Amino acid sequence: MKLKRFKEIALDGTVRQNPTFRLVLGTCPTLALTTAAINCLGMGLAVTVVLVCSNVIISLLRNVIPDKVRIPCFIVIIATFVTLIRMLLEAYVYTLYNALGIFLPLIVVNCIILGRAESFASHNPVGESALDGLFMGIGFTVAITLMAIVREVLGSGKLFGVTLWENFKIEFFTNPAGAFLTFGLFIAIFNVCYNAVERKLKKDAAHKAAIQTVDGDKQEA
Amino acid sequence: MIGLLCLSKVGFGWLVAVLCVIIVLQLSFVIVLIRKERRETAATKADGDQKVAKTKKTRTYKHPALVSAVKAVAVLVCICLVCVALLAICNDVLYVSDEVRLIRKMKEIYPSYGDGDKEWNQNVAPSLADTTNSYGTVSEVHRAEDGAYVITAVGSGGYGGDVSVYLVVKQQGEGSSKDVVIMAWTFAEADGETLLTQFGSTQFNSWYKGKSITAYTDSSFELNNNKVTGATLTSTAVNNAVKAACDFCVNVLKLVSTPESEAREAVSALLPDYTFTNVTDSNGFAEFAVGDQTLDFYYEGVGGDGQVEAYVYGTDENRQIVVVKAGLTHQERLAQEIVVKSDNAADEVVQKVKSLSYFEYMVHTYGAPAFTFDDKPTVDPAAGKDDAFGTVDAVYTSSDGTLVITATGIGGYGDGTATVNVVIANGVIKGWWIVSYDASQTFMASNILSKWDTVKAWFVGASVSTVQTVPTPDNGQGLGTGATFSERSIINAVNMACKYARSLAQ
Repeated sequence: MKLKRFKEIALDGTVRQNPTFRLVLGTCPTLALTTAAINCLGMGLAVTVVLVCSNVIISLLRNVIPDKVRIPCFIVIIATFVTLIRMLLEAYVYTLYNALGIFLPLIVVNCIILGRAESFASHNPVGESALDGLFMGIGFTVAITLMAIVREVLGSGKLFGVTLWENFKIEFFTNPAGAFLTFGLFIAIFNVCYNAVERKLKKDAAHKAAIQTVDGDKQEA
Repeated sequence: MIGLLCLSKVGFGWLVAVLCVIIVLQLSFVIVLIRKERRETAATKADGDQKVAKTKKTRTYKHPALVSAVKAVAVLVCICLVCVALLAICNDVLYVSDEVRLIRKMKEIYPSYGDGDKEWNQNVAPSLADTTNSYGTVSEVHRAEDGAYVITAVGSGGYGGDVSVYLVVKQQGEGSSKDVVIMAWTFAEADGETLLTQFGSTQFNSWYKGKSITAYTDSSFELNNNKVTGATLTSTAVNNAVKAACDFCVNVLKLVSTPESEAREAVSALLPDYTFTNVTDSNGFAEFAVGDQTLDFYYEGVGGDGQVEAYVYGTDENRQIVVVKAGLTHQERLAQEIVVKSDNAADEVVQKVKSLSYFEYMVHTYGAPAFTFDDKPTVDPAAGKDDAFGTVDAVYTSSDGTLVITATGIGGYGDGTATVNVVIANGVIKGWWIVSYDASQTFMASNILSKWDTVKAWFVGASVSTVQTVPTPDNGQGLGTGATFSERSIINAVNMACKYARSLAQ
């Protein structure tokens, strides 16, 4: 795979098509689990593993699965991996299993996973699909962890379970209303920054293209 | 998906067998379809070679939609089968036993549960497994080395049926402050109780913590329904389960004694073949109380020869217990044989379980334990009749001079009469009780006998030697029961007894 394609996939997953802040997918665990940063890391890791594995399998079977039954097949494959993850967590990491609770099996219906399977893995080779799953998962993990850090620090005065201060707590941020507000702010800030960077890059690209055109004309002359 | 979940739980051998069957069926179906298509293709040969060649060349199916559907289903089924096989294998490899799940769940509320070398005795009381009480059922009891007990109890009345809880109790304090308190609790099953998981939050989970197990009969012990909005039925089931566990600890494991548990133990020891249930509301028929006794506990017992009622007076070793057959009328109660037990070591007459007539019981209890009923002189007809009061029916004397006089008083409701026994010693009424009354005295039971706790104090302490009539609290205007005529018959009967006692003293 070319480096350019690799960069494209990486940037798409983490920035350009960040599933949380750009595509606004998977909002249910985003709002519910971002009260504790450590839980978000665990959830993000679980989603990443499911994304990678399901993308790989779906990509491998993309020429076998008929169009008529593609969604049921995708769901079955995703559900299998989610169940495997659930079994693994229950057996070896019970605290995380307990912390994720009902949201662990809900990964099956997480729009990020089915969306990437439908839009990317079913049309692309295995290697690219795996990378797409990996970077989408990383993007999701980083996004929800950042949100969780803000909510945890402001709401309960802790960071990854470690108490930072006792007295200053804004309990609003631990409530659902605070979750929505934080989510909205993050989306706004992220998109403002993204648009600004994109405009700058376009401007630079246009400027560069203009300079190259002028140089080319000069040479011709 | 359901098939995935179900089959992944099945053992590997069964899984292979099921897989084989499914594969064979699918293959058979596909083979049948293909053969059918070939037969149809061969049948078109008779129409001409061109048609056959064309058919062979283009390989068009007569029913392309069917073939494509079959292919789609086959692919889906194959993917499902592979996933099922993978899950089944992983389920065996990553299996978490119920015991481990229980330990994990218990560690959430009691961190030292199941630790290392500590042995947890399974079913401390196996013979009491599935013990049922009025609140629910206790299925298991585990005990830790540190003395804590973990009780698994089931309470009914939930939204989806029963709710199982784990309750951890432990003795705390020393000496007079020793008590058994609830350390923690959690729910075991949440099936059908959609709001049960809310009880796991700190706000509700801490409700029972620190409370004494003896407080389970108090209304303040219960988880307030309003605290878990909309979960009234679930709260009821949780309350029942916790109370069932507490009741088990108090009355079966006997972790702590309460006056009620001690009384129940005494009653049960009296009649081991009976099962007694504490009833907070007695039937109001407390005529067995004597002296300054008050009814402390009332039990309904089932077993043996039928149903009985047990009345307990007193909360210490001097308690008196009266057991009578259940379902009797007032009149029948007054006449029947009763079983009496007294823990009062000083009461030599009723030290052991014995059957007494109500008469004997009342006489002995009214401070006349030495009464021997040996002497029953004939009643003097002249002195034993008074047109104003009534008649004397019998007299019993004792060597210590105590008299028990049975007298019948007139002037009752519907011209009825009432018969009383009066115990007189040293010229003072020691006690009295109603023996019988006419059926016309319709208010006797409802207005007087039902209030025996206060009625029995009438006339006690009054002197019989100085006055003609026994003083009444309101100078003969009535004793406040609302049954004035019935009161009159009683007053006349007591006056008759007093008058006869004076005549004997002369």
